[in-house]
Amino acid sequence: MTPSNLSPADRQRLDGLYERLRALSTRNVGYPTNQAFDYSELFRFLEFSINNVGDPFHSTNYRLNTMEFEREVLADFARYTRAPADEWWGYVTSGGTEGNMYGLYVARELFPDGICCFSEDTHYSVAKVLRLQHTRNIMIKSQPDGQMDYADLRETLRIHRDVPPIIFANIGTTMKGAVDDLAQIRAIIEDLAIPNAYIHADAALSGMVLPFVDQPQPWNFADGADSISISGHKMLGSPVPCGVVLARKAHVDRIARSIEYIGALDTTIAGSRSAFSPLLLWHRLRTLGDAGLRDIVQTCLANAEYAVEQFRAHGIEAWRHPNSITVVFPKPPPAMMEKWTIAPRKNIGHLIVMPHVNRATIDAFVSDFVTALKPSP
Amino acid sequence: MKQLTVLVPNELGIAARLTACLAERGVNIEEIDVESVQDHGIVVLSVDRYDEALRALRDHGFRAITQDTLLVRLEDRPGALAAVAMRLKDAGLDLRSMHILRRDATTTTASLVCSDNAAAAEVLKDVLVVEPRS
Repeated sequence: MTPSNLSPADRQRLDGLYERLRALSTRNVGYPTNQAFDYSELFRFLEFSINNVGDPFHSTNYRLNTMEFEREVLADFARYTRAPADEWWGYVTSGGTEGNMYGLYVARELFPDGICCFSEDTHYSVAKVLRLQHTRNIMIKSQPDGQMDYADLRETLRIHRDVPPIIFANIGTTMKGAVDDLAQIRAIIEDLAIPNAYIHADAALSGMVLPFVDQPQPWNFADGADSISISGHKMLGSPVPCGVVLARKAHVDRIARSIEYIGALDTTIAGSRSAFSPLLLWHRLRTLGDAGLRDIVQTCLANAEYAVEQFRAHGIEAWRHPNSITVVFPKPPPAMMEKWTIAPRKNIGHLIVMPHVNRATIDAFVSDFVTALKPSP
Repeated sequence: MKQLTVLVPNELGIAARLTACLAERGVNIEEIDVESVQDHGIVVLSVDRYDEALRALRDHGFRAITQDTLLVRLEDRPGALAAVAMRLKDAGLDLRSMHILRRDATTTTASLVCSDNAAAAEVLKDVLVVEPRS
């Protein structure tokens, strides 16, 4: 390593930052970011200024890219999301939000008059995206367990039958891990004889859980999604935020034609795109394989169930959805926030049982929770 | 003078906490109305330093609704928001967004933004929580 001109004080700051992050990473139990990975094999690629600018399926003049690896990553995700063979398109994004933005962009281009329907439990970034894209939108009620209220959706679609609905479905809500049932949503659309509709699935976390369980809720292309966004830094784990968005190719081709006038068939949102994050995803997928991923997911689910049992054994009413690694419990006492990185909201909190959250961590968390609940002497 | 609406939980001392957070940032409250609805309260404020008031409320964890947004209270039943959207459409107005802010046993409080908020306020008079001030 070439010694840098960094001053001793600045070097000390970096050392301090490193220690702080190292200490925090093991106690990060409230956010869905897997902290357990080893990408040291890829560090040498940080020597280059690499860039996957543009469409990963088109050629580019900037040859310092990893698009070949990106396409392989996308092919794996297409398989996990049951995308129709040769009828899908996608790219590696900067994270789940860009994937959601892409899905909603495709929908808005296809149906400029459409109204986006999304539930109360939807991540706040979606409202931002809708405002940015000037897409009309209406919030749908949620059920107490976090799923979309299908009666409210049905009534909303019935009243606005003449307007193409753009349904933003949560495949694992942020707080409760609830999955909006695509089969029910499709059935409502069909029952109301609505000819044009679009479903975007935000599968940020659960998109890498549901492919590896025996009885997944309806959530993917085979169940009626038109586009799906999945985060790469969540279940798979990555040192930089990243994700994947996939969409039905026919939709993408249609909007590519409609924007041809700007002289670029590239429909990706960003210009320059990371060429390093596709390598990270590729490395993770290749080193784990389907069997390794299934093992990780099944271990997390078993640990999540263990966490529910431990909470309940101490009289704390915890629960989780089927196939969910999000364990919901009453809002933790403020003392818990000092030690643990958690994200309470309104009257609940959650533990997201990622691969780095093992049973020892769960035991320590529950023990601290029980202690914090006790009245001080 | 501009108007702000804040939804607050019905907790002891909440109004004092809210006004104190504005006072410590040097924001003068010109008018204040407080209405209690089941488990929450609606505070309508007119302030002299609008942007500073918004920042102060945000920093203290309050959710403020600006006067660019209409606030409606509806019966909590399926399609209630969609029915409001339809009323606006019938009046030739274009709904941009409609978001649920709070739900209790019987009612839903929602914010909405329309192509012409003044005209929308006229159409939705019967469900409007706060009359916009001119």
